[in-house]
Amino acid sequence: MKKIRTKVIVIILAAVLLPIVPLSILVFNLVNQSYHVGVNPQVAQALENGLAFSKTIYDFQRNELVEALERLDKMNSDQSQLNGISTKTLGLDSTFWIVKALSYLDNKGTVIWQKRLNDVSIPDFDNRFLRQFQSPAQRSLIVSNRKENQFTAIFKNFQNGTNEGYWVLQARFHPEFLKQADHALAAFQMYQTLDLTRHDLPKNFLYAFIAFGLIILSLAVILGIWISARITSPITSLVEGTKEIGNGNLNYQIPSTKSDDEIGQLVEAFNQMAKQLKESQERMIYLEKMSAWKQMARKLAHEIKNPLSPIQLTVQQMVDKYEDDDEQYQKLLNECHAIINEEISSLRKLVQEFSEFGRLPELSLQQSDLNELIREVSVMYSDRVQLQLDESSIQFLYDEDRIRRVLINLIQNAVQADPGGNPVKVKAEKLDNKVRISVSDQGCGIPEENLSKIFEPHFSSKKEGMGLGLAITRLIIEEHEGTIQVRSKVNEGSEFVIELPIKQNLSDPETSSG
Amino acid sequence: MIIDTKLKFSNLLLILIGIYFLNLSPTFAQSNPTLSVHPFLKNDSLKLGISYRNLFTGNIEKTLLAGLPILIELNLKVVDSGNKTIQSKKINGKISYDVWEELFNIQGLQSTENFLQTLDDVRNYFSEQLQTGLLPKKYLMSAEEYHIDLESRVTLLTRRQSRQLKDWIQTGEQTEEDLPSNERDTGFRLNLNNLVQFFIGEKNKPEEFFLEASSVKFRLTNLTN
Repeated sequence: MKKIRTKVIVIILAAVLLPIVPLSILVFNLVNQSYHVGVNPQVAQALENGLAFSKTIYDFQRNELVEALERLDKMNSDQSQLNGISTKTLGLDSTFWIVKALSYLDNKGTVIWQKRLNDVSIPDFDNRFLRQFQSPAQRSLIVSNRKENQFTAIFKNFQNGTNEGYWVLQARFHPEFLKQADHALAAFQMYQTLDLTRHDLPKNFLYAFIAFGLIILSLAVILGIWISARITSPITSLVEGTKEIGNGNLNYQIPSTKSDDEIGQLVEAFNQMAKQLKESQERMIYLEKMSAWKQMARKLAHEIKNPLSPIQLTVQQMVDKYEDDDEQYQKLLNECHAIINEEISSLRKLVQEFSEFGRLPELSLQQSDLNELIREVSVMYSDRVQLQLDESSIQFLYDEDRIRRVLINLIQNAVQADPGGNPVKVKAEKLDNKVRISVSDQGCGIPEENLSKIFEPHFSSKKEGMGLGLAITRLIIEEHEGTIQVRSKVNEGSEFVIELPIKQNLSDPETSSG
Repeated sequence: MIIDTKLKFSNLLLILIGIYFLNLSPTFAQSNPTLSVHPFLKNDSLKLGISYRNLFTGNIEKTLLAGLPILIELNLKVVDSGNKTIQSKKINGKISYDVWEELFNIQGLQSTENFLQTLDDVRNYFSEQLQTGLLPKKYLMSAEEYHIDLESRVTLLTRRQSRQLKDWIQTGEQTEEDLPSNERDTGFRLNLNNLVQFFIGEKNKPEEFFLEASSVKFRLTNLTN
């Protein structure tokens, strides 16, 4: 059975593996192609150009701060002009800049004049930046703190060879511009990162796919083992069961698979077959045994019956021919004659029963109503029998005379078993494909040790009779391919249950239809 | 049947190995960077001059100019003639470039932070100016012969970048496979990214490479001040 199991696992594995191989190649190529759609020199160039453009604007706008101061320095504006100055008059683009303040410092760095251009806080100016102007060539400076978004432009007011002071313009970029510039940089950096991993990332996707495939593969193996175990385990049991049945162990039953599939049905059918085989075997053994008993009963009846009449006639003759007047002898003779007659009578009865048992005729099946038969028999015991019959008639093929005898036997036994006069219940019901008849009493019951013997010929617990009644009963039932079972408890009563298969006369359209 | 299946298994294995090797290619397009070291004495201490050549080319140059930081790790060992390490030192440095201010920043390699204007300045710094102290001269024996081993690890894709890449892939909707019916039925969400991240996780080896150099064997008496 291991071979089937291995085959099932291999088939499932192959079914999973075969598509995985081309799929892996396909996935790897697709991922590679998709990757290179996004990571290619054109995209790199576009991102680089975008970043360069942002940088150009950024640099241009920063220089604009210095340009604005230079223009202001050249204007030689008076105080009133300075007081009216704005972002626009400074020539700065307000879409980029939020100017905080314009200041003029003397050459020592002291603030002489300052104008706030927006209602925003002005950071302190760090005079150390002015050290950069120690070189005469240095005219301007831009100090950037991009993180804090603080930009300071300084322009040296240099007139007639002397440093008169410094123009200082403090401003901040509109955050949206910096954010967009940062996005351009982040996109370029992400591209660089992807470019660095251009060989690894698609492989990682492939590994991920293979890992996924391996998980599926593992599940397939587990599934294969489970399915093969599920299929082969009952087959193994069937093989074992067949061997057991072959060896004559008809009691063997395969454990139920608890499933309703074909395998489960096969197991159930096997168990049913084993059970039927056992019943057939038991029936055959019983019938063979009964056949032997019948043969012996016939012979016995014949051998005993023949000398009985000569014995009886001879004894009668002896009594008749005695002519002396010895009264005592005459009395003894009459007593002996009576005893011999009584014993001959008993023997005749025995011979009669044996003869009946030995000459039980073949079954004569006829379509009859069982309910009618039970009612007919119960009339004989009308004061004791309590009927519980199906409302509809129970028509099927059976030997009416023989079943009548069975009913009489069982009811008679039940009546005799209960001298208290309790009712004997007779029940008949039609099941799917059989008829169940039960006869129960509340009598003395049968001891457990006798239950297995009561259907044996010549076994009786009664003083009267030859113990053939129940043997004949079972024989009749077995000949009908039915079963008879007994349940009994001492001092509580017994119940005999007969089950007969419903056989219909196919030529009878009324019964065969239903 | 079983023999056929075995053949299929071996074929699959061969195909997978083939795919793996076909796709293996050098990660870096770097023009042979070299590393050299030259010990010297200064202020009664053994010091080491470290010189990188052709380091800032190819991917390193591109990475740096994109504003992505590059990590440099130096592992130094002073080894005596019996191959016994008598001093070891680990230095972690970082080079970054401010794209907006066009300023290079070198941190951690020397006691002071350096700001450089151009990439040539950076190249010059790494080829001529990188120095580090190792140990006072008094700990070395005049008659003993020493040499210095240096291992340098240059990391291009830092863990931070890996994490950003991972986050970027995770939030990228293009690669997410939605199976609405499955989601409704079982609550199961097939997200290939989560599986891929398992392979690209932060614990994975970052993009890096090694350079090694050993000094010539020297005695204290041979070294110049």
